[in-house]
Amino acid sequence: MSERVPVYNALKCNMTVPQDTSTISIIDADEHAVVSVQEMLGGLEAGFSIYCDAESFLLSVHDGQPLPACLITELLLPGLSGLELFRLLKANEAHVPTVLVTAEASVPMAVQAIRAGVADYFLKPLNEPRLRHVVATILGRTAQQPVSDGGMRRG
Amino acid sequence: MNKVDADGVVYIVDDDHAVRDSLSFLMKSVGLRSSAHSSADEFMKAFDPEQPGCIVLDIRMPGISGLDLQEALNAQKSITPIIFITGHGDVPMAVEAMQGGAVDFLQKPFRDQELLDRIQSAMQADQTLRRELEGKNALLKRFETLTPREKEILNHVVAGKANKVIAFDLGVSQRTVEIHRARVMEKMAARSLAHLVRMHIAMDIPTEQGPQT
Repeated sequence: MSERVPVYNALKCNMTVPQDTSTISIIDADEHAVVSVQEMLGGLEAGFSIYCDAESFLLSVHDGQPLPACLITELLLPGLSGLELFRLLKANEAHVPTVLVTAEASVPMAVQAIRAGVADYFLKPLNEPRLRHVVATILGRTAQQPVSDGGMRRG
Repeated sequence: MNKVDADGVVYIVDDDHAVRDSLSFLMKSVGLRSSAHSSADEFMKAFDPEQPGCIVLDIRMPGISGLDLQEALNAQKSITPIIFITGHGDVPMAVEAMQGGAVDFLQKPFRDQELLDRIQSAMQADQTLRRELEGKNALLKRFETLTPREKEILNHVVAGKANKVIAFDLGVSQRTVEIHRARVMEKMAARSLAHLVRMHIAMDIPTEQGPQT
């Protein structure tokens, strides 16, 4: 628990984090889930950085790792949830287009996530063509406009 | 229970008449005007996009579904907020509805107060947005009464240039600039330079050169 404070402050000390337009970060404690996402997105010209929880992602950002072009995170993680991580990033003006994936079929949670501004919300097992389409769209947009907003809401 | 500004209309679109009846009754009980419809087609005939309010929309209906109706409303640039209600909603459906701009997605059964709260915040947001848009349109109308020269002067003035500088830039006398400037302030009903600048920002018109038309 003593580690939590620096993690929460990680972004605050590193506000102008660069963005790497060709990296997709995947956060999931389940190795098989990570591999399956990687396989689904194999055709896209992007590298992957893998984390098992939100805290280790934040620590890597704190250590100078550029923000990814796209973040694919499981909602249910051991510490901070995927949605909490997204909110934390957003609150610190780190706009990372984020796709939440989860096995939890909760409508209120999905509503909350989209309203918070996540790009998409997928139930596992993942719909491969749709995931590829969504991530490709995000990568295309991020490449054109390095620091883009994660939200897809109406203006 | 909290009352909402009586100005708005709550449109209820649901193929189930029991739901329509109970929601209409609920709206009436808190002093809200409502307009209930059994299908998207019927709703479209009665819908007035200029009227403030919100739409409580069943997602599954025979014929045009709630999501299709949302798409049609988006296509005609309706800004009236939509609250979806559904008996058997699933996550992909909720995601699609929210990404389509819905303000909420409620699963039946829900508590009356829960729906009323959502309606209230949706209608408040709608009124604020409409007021903003109205304000902008009113400003644009004033702006259109300006002559091309006055528009040009306006752009220079809001860019923070002194009359002397404007006169030099446009190759006219300082007196001419003063007269135009006074006309601009009058036509735009600007109380001060700061007010004029704020109105200019609100109108969202490019600063350097006036619009082509």
